[in-house]
Amino acid sequence: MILLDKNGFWSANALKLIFLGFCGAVIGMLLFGAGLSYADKPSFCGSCHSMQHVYNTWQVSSHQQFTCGDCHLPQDNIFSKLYVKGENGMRHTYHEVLRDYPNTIEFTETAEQIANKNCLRCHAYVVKNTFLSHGDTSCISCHRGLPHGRGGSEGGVKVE
Amino acid sequence: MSRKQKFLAVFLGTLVVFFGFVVVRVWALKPPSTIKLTAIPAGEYDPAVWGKYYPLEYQSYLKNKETAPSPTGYGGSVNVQKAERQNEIYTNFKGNPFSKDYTEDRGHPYSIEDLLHSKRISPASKGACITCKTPAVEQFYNEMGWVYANKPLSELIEKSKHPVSCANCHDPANMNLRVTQPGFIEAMSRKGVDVTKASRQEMRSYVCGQCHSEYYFEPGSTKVVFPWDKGYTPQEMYQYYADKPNGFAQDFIHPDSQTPVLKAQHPDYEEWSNGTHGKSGVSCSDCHMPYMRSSGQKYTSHWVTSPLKNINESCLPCHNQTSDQLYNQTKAIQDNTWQLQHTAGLTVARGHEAIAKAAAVPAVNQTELNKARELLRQAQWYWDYVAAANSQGFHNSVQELHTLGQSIDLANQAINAANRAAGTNTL
Repeated sequence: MILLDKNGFWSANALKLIFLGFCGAVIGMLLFGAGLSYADKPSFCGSCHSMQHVYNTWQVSSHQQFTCGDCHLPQDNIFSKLYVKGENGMRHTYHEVLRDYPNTIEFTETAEQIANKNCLRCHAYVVKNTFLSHGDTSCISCHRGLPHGRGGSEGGVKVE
Repeated sequence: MSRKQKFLAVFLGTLVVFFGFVVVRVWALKPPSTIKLTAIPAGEYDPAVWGKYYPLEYQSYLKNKETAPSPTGYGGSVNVQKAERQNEIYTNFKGNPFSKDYTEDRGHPYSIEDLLHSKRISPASKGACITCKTPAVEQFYNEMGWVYANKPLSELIEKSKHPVSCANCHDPANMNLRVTQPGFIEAMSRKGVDVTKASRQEMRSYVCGQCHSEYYFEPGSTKVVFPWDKGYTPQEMYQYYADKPNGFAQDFIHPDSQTPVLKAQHPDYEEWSNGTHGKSGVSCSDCHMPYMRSSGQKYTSHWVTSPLKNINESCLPCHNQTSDQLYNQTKAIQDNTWQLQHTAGLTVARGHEAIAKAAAVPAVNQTELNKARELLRQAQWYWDYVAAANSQGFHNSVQELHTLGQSIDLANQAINAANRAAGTNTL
């Protein structure tokens, strides 16, 4: 483009360009970080209509000090976390816009595996001497009411 | 503008419109979570009028018109004769209108139509039969008390324009749940329960239990009475009937065996109340009228049907097994109950035959023969308690299988007693 027209441009403006690039990168990272930190908050997850029930039950649960992502996103490295978050986010937004989400939202197999690994991040010592520590049995198949309860708690359709 | 600038402008514009739409749809304009209350005038029994203000509920109510077999093949809403599959019905209800016409019941919108076409109804039928067929029963009871039950049915049917619908269960002023069936209110009050003080969760079963229950007509007044004073199990209810309550001895006397028979009437509420779900506080509506979503808005389905048609909404809020697993479990319970039920029904039918043959023997021992009749009366009641209910054992599988086991044993005891009475092998 215009910037590339003159050969002398680079040498003359090198410092300015480095500075501009630096500022751009900082602003970009700040925006990205701010966005990510905003989207990591449970209040953001709970702002979707379909998440109302799980958000309400989590708020009064024994796990209220943790965020949604602490349990529902892989925590082994930032890349797999961001990948799953991005993929989930797009899928959820799609259904939230279409409003075709089911009444009872079920775990997919991957989602259950991710959550199960996250149980073990904290609770591994409890099961370390049992076969459960192998990680191939799901904690959730027994502890299914944690932390979102087991239905029936939301009440009915309100008439006003 | 250059081409590049135009391209950029269109690109940015598309982004703004797209994300703007997402933001508005997801965050700014959420689906409503409440319904506006519209009071309906008292005495308005036409569901279409209520439906104007509660369209989601009304649309789902209209689905009750659908006639289809149930997912497992038991019950369902097609009005086929039950005797097609259970031949023993002809024998066991011989001499009673149930041997002439005994179909699977269709949905609430058909309640008046199917009553009119039932061969069990005759010009002598009493107004008591209208009790669970129309919301107008509220008006009849308010105007004349139980006297309506003794009027000719034909007179009340003319005044009953609408089938079971909104006003049977909802207070028109505030849409709260209410019960309108006087027999249920009286039965509960004898148990020390004031239905006007019931919790919402209790009402979510009471509204169904006011009709989906065993009853009898009080001799003389034809009042509808629920036999619940001693409890809900088939044994407790049999005990209750043994005392000839209000002078009621039997529904009919079997013409062959001269056995005084009790006809059970769909004891669904009773089965449920002692079953796992009933004991755990899960109401009828939780499974049969689950919360559904339409464009994100939650509403109570008024399509009262098999929960297996909506496993996601009906079962999965509590159960975290897969839909297939839950379906197969239910099907297995129903298959097992069906097999024992059919065996029990056939054994009871053989009991009637044995007693009839024994009675024809000149030197028959009458004491033994009456013992046989008493055993058979109990056996038939136990069989019918399960056979007349709509869940094919699911509401309380342990109790139903136990009841059927007892029925088979009692029927065989009756056959043995008949043989002893006759002094020979009757069958």
